[in-house]
Amino acid sequence: MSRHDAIVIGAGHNGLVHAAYLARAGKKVLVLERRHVIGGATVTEEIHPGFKYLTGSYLISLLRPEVIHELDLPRHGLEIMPLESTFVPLPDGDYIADWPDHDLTREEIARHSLRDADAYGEYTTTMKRIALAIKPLLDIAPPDPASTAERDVLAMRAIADRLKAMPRGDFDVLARLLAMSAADFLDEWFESDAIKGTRCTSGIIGTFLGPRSPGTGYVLLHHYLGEIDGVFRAWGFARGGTGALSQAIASAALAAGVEIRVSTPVERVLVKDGVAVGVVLRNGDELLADRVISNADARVTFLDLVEPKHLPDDFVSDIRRYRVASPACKVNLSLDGLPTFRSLPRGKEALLRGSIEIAPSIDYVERAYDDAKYGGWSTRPFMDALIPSLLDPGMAPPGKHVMSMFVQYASSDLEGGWTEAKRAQFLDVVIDTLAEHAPDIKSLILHKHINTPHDLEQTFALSGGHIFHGELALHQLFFLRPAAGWSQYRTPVKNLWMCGASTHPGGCITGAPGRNAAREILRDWSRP
Amino acid sequence: MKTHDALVLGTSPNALCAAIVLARGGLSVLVLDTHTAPGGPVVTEPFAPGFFADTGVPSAAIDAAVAADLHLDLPVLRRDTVTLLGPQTVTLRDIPLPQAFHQATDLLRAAYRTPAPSVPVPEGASETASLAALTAHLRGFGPRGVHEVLRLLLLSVRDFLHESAIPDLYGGPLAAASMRSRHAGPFDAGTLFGLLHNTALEDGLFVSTAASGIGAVPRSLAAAARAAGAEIRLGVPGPLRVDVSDGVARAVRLPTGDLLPAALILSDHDARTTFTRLVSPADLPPEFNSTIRHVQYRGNVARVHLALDRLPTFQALSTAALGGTLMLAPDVVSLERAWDQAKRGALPSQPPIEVVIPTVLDPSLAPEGKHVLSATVQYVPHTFTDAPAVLRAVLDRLAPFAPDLAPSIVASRVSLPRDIESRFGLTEGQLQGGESSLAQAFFLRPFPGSSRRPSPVENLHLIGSAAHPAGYSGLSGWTLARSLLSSAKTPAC
Repeated sequence: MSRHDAIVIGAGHNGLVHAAYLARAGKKVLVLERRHVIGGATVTEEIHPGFKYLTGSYLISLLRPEVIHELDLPRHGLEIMPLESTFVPLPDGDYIADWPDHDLTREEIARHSLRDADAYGEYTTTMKRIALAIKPLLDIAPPDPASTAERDVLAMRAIADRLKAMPRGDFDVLARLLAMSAADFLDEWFESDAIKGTRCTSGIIGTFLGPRSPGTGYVLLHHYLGEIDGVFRAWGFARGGTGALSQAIASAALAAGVEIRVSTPVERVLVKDGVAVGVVLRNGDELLADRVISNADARVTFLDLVEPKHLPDDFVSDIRRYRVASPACKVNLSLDGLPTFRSLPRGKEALLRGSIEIAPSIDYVERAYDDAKYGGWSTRPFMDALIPSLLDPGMAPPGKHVMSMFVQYASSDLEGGWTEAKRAQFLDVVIDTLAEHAPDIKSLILHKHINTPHDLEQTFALSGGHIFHGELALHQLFFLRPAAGWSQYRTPVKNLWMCGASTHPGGCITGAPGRNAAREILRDWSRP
Repeated sequence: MKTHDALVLGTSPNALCAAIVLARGGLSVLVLDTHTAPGGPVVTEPFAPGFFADTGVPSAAIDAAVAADLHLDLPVLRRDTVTLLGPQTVTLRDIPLPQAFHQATDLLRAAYRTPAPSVPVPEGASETASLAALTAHLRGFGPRGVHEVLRLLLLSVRDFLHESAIPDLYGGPLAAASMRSRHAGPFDAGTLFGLLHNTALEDGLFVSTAASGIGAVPRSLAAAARAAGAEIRLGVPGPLRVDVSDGVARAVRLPTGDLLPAALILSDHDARTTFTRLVSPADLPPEFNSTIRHVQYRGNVARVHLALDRLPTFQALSTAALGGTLMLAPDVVSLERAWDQAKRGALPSQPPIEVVIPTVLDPSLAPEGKHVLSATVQYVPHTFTDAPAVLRAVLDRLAPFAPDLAPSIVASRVSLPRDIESRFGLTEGQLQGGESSLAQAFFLRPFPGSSRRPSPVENLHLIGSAAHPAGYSGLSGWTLARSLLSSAKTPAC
């Protein structure tokens, strides 16, 4: 039996990034994927013939430019197109829009509030400055404040120096933002409901909190990082869907010598004398390796794949309390033609090529949260929709379209559980909500598909269906992600490592956990 | 006219502790209050003929370090039982909290006894020592303790209750004690901080007051301040103004136009009041005015006081339990649901309510044989104006437990947040002089930037609950006065 240097469990985008980096450093790497396709939740699936669905993640904003360049992803087929606009239909028949052009956006805002149009410029530059200042923290292994090891102490000092170097006013804004709600923060800048509504959504995407919940300020900033550092300094769409990104990373990995096996579920990590030595497949085969790296989330890794006897009790209880309840769903529609949005003005049809958000006000989004937080779903959900076939005609047959919607909130802990009937009911809620803005949508639907949190959990092995591998809550960030003392991609089991979004800096398509973990593991490997 | 070394505007325990420190340090101190009783919102006053109630804050304790340092002998009464009124009425005396909870409150208490260090600490700053001491304190808990304590500071009440396996019974009362004066729900991040903060100030689930009403605390402090040589003038005609020239506070101006010059002016008022009413915004930089506009108040506590002609019959409750706190706060979900209504400006249908009957322990607060019942109703929006609805909410909720309550009422008073604002000059009725939240704690309190530059007006300082660490423990005044004294002793170079 051939022995590998490293086995990566899961071919999610971070697992693939991680494998590629290890292989480029000369390691013999095997990636094992339980599904028949690679990419994890970064996948394009043709569930309805001819129509390509984004069943998991749908946009690329935070992908680290280093990953793109170092793995030479464009050469491996990655083509990212900027998502240029955001269109928000409003209940009164009006709309609000963001354009790629600052002045155009300013004009749109000025239609709603002159004061907000004035504030917009300063808001944008302030957020960019703060995001730029903290951006380097994405690429580090968070130091442990309880550690007296030289490495941690130096890293803590480096962070302190970075914070000291920030303009004092910016540091205060940052500190408050971390503890505030997105709504309170936006209230300080803007007066118009519509403008605050569209901006607040960055604070709640993927998060089981409402815009008025303290803690959403951080999420706002997390998503803002993409806008300053994304490939196009904007949200992007990969030609072929997010699955094409996974294919490009896989291509880079294969070129570096990585072996990828699909439909090969791992039963458990093989641990001998406290050391991970390989994995046991579901079919009973044992595969050995010097290092085992899990791309699965922390709950799956430590509660399913590693036997508890190999883990300290404290650690197991930390993982058990790791919060994964999720409110996010994905809906994909096959359409016979383009929907007509009542409030989309003639001559501005280009807005359909961007993001279409149903988030007319903070109150709307807050109510959507309140409806769901006790185990229900939003009567009128927040939605971020995209018509990928307008950007890439290959996503649907000629003349047809595909619409991909990120929808929240529907509780992963739905009262009574997610049954077939409940799934269908919530899908109807989503379409009814959309129909309020695009009345012809129902007549255009050829096929519809929903991934509820329960489906996301079943399909992608995401605990709680959480798209970020666990909540981006303040108590689950940085040195506390996924558990205090284990924020540097290591685990309590020697030679078992983590490279997924349960580690710093968390979810979204970033490639950062995969890349950071590769750096840490290689550094460790080079030690005598 | 005599120039005082220090002029203190306001008489909360924080202000009086500052006055004591400064007077004992040899400064000439003049304390002014437009009210006739000392204490600010820490006051016991008649609300009906012969009936007395704590009409501002329902509880507060002078910090033990302050009391020891100032050799204060204070009339402390600890309400060390909480009785949960519900389907099963249970009296709680002791709650099994995880060790990290106690470590976190110890750490906060230590942090509150030092001025809030500017974060990140500038190189070579004097605060380096206090921050180092706090770091050493934290490290003393061991690695696991460090992790757990830091985590608790960021956690939501809901998650804390869930993961600590605290019996459901305790959930409601603990959540209610966390959310006092908070404009947030117990599901929200960082809300456990409220419980840690309140517990660190001996004002958590079990609260402190004084036997003959909380107003005894400032009365006792005022006596100590006078004994130390401070002059205290109560009932001074207002409004008072601070005279600023060239960016320096120089005197307090009385309505008569007379000036009381002073080298230092210490304001016990909140930041908004201080920098919009005491000082004219025209004397302040525009960016600072916007900083002050962004301080969050949004008080959401209403107080209800009932004068009773007899002790209401709470079925199955001992007299001991009646002397403690009674709570209507069934569980964390009901609190979050109450918050859902409050955040939209409505009175919740089931607001959390804390009740005390102070006359059980001190009959002198009412005419002989009569009683007083005071309720603290949470999540009453500061914009809410329907006082009778709040009274009804209290009576409706209590009726199943004390059926004879309503008929025994001879008088009542409801103080909505807006009444608290007008009576005590607290912006939006915020009893803490600014919401006490993570976003407004430590170096962000009383406003962002204050730890670097305490005030845009030289010689004018905030010493009240508006300042770090918030609350009426005396700490904000005590720490600031001590650092003012020590910097006065350090010759300028």
